[in-house]
Amino acid sequence: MKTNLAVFFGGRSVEHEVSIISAVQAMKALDTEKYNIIPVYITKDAEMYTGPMLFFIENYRNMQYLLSASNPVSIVRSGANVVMKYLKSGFLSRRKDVIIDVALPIVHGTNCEDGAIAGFFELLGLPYVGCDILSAAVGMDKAIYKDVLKNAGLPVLDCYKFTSREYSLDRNGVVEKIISEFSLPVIIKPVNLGSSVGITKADTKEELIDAIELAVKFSELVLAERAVQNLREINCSVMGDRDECEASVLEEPIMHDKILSYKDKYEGNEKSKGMASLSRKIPAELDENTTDKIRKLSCDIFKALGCNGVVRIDYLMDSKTGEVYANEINTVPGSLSFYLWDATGIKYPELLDKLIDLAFKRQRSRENLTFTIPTNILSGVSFGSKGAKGAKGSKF
Amino acid sequence: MNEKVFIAVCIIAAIAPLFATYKHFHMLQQNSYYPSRYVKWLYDAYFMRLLLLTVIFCALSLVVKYNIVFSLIIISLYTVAQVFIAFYDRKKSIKRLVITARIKRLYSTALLVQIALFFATICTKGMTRGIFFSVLILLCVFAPLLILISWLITYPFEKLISFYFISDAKRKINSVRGLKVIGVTGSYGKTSTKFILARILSEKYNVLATPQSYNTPMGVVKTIRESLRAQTQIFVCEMGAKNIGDIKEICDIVNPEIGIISAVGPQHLETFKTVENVFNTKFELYDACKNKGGKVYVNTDSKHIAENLGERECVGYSVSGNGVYAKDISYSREGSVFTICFMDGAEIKVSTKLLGKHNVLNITGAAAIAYDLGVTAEQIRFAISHLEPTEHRLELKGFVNGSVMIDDAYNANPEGCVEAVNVLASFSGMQKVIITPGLVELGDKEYDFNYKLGLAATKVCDHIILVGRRRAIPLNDAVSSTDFDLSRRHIVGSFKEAVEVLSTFADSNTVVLVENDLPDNYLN
Repeated sequence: MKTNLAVFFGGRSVEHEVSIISAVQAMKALDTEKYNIIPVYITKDAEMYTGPMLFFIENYRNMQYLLSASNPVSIVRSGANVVMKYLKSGFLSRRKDVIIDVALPIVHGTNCEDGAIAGFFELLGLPYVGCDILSAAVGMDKAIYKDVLKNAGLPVLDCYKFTSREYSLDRNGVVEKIISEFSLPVIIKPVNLGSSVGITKADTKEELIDAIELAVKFSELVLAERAVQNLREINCSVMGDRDECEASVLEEPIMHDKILSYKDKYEGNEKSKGMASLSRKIPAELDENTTDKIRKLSCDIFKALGCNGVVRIDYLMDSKTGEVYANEINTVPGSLSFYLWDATGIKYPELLDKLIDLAFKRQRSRENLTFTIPTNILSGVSFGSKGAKGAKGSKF
Repeated sequence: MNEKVFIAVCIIAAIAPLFATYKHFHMLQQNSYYPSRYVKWLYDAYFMRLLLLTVIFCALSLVVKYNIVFSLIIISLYTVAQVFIAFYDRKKSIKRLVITARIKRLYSTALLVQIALFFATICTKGMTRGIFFSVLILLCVFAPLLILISWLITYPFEKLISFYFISDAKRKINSVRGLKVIGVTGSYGKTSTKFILARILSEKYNVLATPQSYNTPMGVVKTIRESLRAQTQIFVCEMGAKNIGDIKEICDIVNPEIGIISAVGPQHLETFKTVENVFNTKFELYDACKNKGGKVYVNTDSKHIAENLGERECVGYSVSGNGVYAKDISYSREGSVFTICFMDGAEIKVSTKLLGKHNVLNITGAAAIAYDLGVTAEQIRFAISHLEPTEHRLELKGFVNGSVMIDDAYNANPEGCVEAVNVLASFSGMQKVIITPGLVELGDKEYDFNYKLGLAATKVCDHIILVGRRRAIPLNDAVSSTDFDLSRRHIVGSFKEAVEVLSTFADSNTVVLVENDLPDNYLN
């Protein structure tokens, strides 16, 4: 008998395609002796499909054909189990529901990674890999994330947050405020997008205005922060849960642009390999002290947010002063950061096993808590004098 | 008589056995579908009634000579009575008839047999309406026979089904890689031990345990087929026995590697005859585990285990210093605190809301297994501190004026009662109160036992509140025979009054044992 593992990917997100790449990679790496892998592809319209063609990246070139050859499904609770139901029946027979034991969501960006898909699994009571609703949601909102870290005494850059409405009503005021608070150059980011989409570094006032104009296209909330000088970007992956976690080796991505852009990350030389193919140094060339400091910091951040599964935390470092600031966190990192764990000594299949074990562990500790009170409070209620008779069920 | 009435009576007569058999199917199910046990019940509970009914019927038949109107009245009365009995039985019983697929099969078979007999009667040559109705009545009266007939008809089919279910469960259990099966048995304490063990192990493993007190082969098979998943790492399987060979039968299905035997005592002696047989049956688990090269944990405080153990190699657990043992047991308003000492010398100090020596013992046995399976001391301590007591079984609760209540309201057995008083006694430095109407339904021993309970209470308690003026006589006799200060003995009419009395002297340093509080019909 094998564990029925549903891999969820795609979704209503700008990082839809990246998610497909990461998921196909993961499905190749999973131990098929242990798991019966069920791909669940979420289209940009939020429909769900399953089928054997979804295992291969080439098939995604012709989306129309892929979907016609796959089966639309829905995921529902049925008695003690969560099952995948086929929405269309076969030629003569009805397809049997498939029990899902555990979900592995490999989705990036808004409407998925931001806690939405975690919420979907929580609602169903399905064990799932990765962060829960709160940590995923906080991880997605760059402003709240900074607040949480700051409150935990962890190093982040101060920021100024404004809405696109505030900006359109008082453009000059906002621009002046940013310049006076941080002085140029500054970084402008939409608060809730991953993968560097809409992030720009501005050296001049004109660039700043362009940067804000770009950012408000993506998000109603925008934040500005000081640009770190002599910048080096350092990334670190963390795996585990609230009780126990470990940090991977560090990586230093090689920057082509002023900021590692979406282009660099996912549209680089070898498009289909995602984060794994980006030019980078692993391990990052840092002295032992700094490495240890960043790895420890990563675990602290992981715990401060209450993360679970595997995450990647990106840092900004001033190479002259040695100051390190936590930049963003990816609660579903591209390629699940397997290349970092591979360099740490944990092969991808083993990493996935550990993640799935963590999903079951969280489920066990939840089951040991009380969520429902066994008696039905309503069963003893009388609904007025007439209703009391009705409640016994004799009047229907 | 016109045709319409005739048809109506026929229909009533056809339906009546449907209700008449309800209680019998219920009893057959409660006796695990063993016809021999059912027949024993039938003989004990029903034989005299059946005989009486037949005699009355025959006598009346002779008098009225197959009178149709008479038959009509009898059938109607009988049907009404059976409908009433069926509903009464359903309402009253603690464990109702569960409408399983098997019951449906039996019921339909019974119905078919009934219809067949019905038509056979109609088609018989020389049948008059009078005789016809009399036969119908006889069919009603002998409805219990229908049960046995349908049991017999469905038997080969049922055997085939259960054979399929068992082999399917075996196949499933063998296909889960690395699965460890732990068998839990014992004359008492096995259900609690199972839940405690499953809870502690769940700190580290994906655990499946048989639900509620499922402990028959088919209950185990059902659990495996419905809930065992590929990711399950440990299956904790409760095994019950009423006959020699019962445990072996379950072991043959699940192949346990580890076993725990919580106690051996004089239970189910009507089938086991001797305690030795009980011991040997429980130790069928030992044989199964040893065949697989596993370990068996036994409660060496259980007299019958310690005496019969012989050469068998077991890990003992106890509260008396043998094997893995619990020491420094103390009770307070937070619950029990004690230290578990393992074979390798490690000690873990644990606290739990559960009270009583039996619970300490069950926890110690479960912890011994978990420790050997690599659950860390910290995880064991955490899990134990989160164990929840069974409702109204030595359950700690807040009570009036900030006092603390030991709610033992559902306890109705003498040993449990003695243990509850011991627990109360161990709350040193606190004002101790007992509220109880005494035990009931103990037959001849009722007076003696309650008298002893009363004596024990005088030694432990600062206040004794007796509930029910008549019921509490033996207790009161005991209290009066000692020099217990009678101003501290209170006799009240109801639990509500007891609480009123209590609130006049209870404070935050008071512990109140509520023992076997009964529904009001036993009182006054």
